[in-house]
Amino acid sequence: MSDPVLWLAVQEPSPLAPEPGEIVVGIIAFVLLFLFLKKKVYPVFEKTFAERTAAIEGGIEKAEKAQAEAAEALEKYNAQLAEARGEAGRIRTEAQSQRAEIVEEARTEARTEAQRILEAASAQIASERAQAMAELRRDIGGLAVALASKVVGESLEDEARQRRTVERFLAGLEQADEQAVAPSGAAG
Amino acid sequence: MSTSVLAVEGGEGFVSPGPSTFVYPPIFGEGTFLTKPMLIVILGSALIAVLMFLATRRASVVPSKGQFVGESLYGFVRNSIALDAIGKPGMKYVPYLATVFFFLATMNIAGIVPLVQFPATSRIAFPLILAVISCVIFNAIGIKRHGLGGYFKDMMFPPGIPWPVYILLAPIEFVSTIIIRPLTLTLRLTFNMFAGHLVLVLFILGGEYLIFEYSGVVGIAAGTVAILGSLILTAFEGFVQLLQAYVFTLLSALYIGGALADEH
Amino acid sequence: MPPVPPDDSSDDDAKALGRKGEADAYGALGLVISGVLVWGGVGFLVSERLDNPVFVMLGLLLGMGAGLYLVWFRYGRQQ
Repeated sequence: MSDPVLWLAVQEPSPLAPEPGEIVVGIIAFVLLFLFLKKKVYPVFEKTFAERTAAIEGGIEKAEKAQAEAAEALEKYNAQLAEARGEAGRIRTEAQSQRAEIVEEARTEARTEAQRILEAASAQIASERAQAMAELRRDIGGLAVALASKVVGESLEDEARQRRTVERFLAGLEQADEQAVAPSGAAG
Repeated sequence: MSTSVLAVEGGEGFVSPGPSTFVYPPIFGEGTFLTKPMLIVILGSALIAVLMFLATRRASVVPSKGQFVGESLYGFVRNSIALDAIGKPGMKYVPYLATVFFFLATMNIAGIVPLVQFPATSRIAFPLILAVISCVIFNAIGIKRHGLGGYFKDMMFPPGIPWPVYILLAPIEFVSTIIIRPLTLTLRLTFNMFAGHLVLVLFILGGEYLIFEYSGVVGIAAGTVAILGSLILTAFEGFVQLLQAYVFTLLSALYIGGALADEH
Repeated sequence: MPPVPPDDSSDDDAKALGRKGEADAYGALGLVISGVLVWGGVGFLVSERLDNPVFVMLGLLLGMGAGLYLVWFRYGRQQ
């Protein structure tokens, strides 16, 4: 060993011969490294892998859930819309029928009222007429007697007087008629 | 010692780097224990532990940059190696497989890290350790699952062969499963790293020698080409280093998966 | 080499098949190497004992043949 050149010439190192010192160092280094990585490093990697997988799966699940919820909401909304449409239709139909009813009712009422007014008017007219007839009938006798007495009293002297008499009579008749009509008109 | 050899003989002609390139004297002088490959393994392991631990600090569902890198690497081993090669029961072996991958990738990549520039896994001891551990694990799983007799019967006596032939075949199956598997795991990794490092050293030392010792127009030109080539080789080495870490981990996973499978 | 347990998705199936191919290649290589080592080793021991080098050759050939037969038996028949 004192002369390296001689040593090398005598003992060419074989690459096939494992050196004991290296075996010891290698085993210790590898085992320590293995224990350290197994204890401190690999579990952390596995944990993050698992977490990542869980996160991805959780995200997918969440999205699916949201989608389902959205579909459900849409369905609910559609159902509500359909219901509202039905309701509106029903209300419209009802309103239409109600309107027809109201119109019909109003018409009937109006007709009844008109009938009633008409009847009342004709009844009044009839009664007034009857009253007028009665008055006329009562007065006409008196008038005829007065006319006859006047005709007789004047003795029918001349035609001119006769005519005047008749005219007077008629004028008086008219006056009496007016007086008779005026109070009954005010009453009617 | 290799450097001293080059220093001694540098003036007399170029000495091609050989297996002695991979032998380092103890860092603190003769008689002390620690060598450069050991130091790389120790510091590399510590570096993995620290970086991974930092990646888990304030771990959250939305990852930070460091956390993202750590998680991606771990997730790669978990999903693309353990779960792919073993299936659901592979979850149990993810911690071991992930540590193997991180450990080997780091020790391999040390070969192209500036200033470090030595793949610790080119020293056969380190791949051997992991290969033996993998071998123990998958055999233990097989024995636990099929029983000692059942496991070796499945392994050594596949049904459908006339019995005298078993004499010929059974030892081969045994050797192939118990010895060749860890051996090929070890040698594949070791020699990939060994050869890669040797080629890199050859290009760099050769280029250096050509430029500074051989000199002249031809020497400088050829040396420059060699140095540039070493840069391309470095990138290629980085790829090989990651690939070999992956292959080692994947084969370990496949062996475990095989021991777990019902038919053998 | 035992088969890779099936995965659930077809994409993973393709991947797992690729993995299985990789593993099978290494497994087949391992079988041939084992065969040569085991029976070549036995032949070597016999040659040493009997001082006749022919047994090494026989052992190597026998081992290679047996290894190749195992490769065919384990991986070749299924197709």
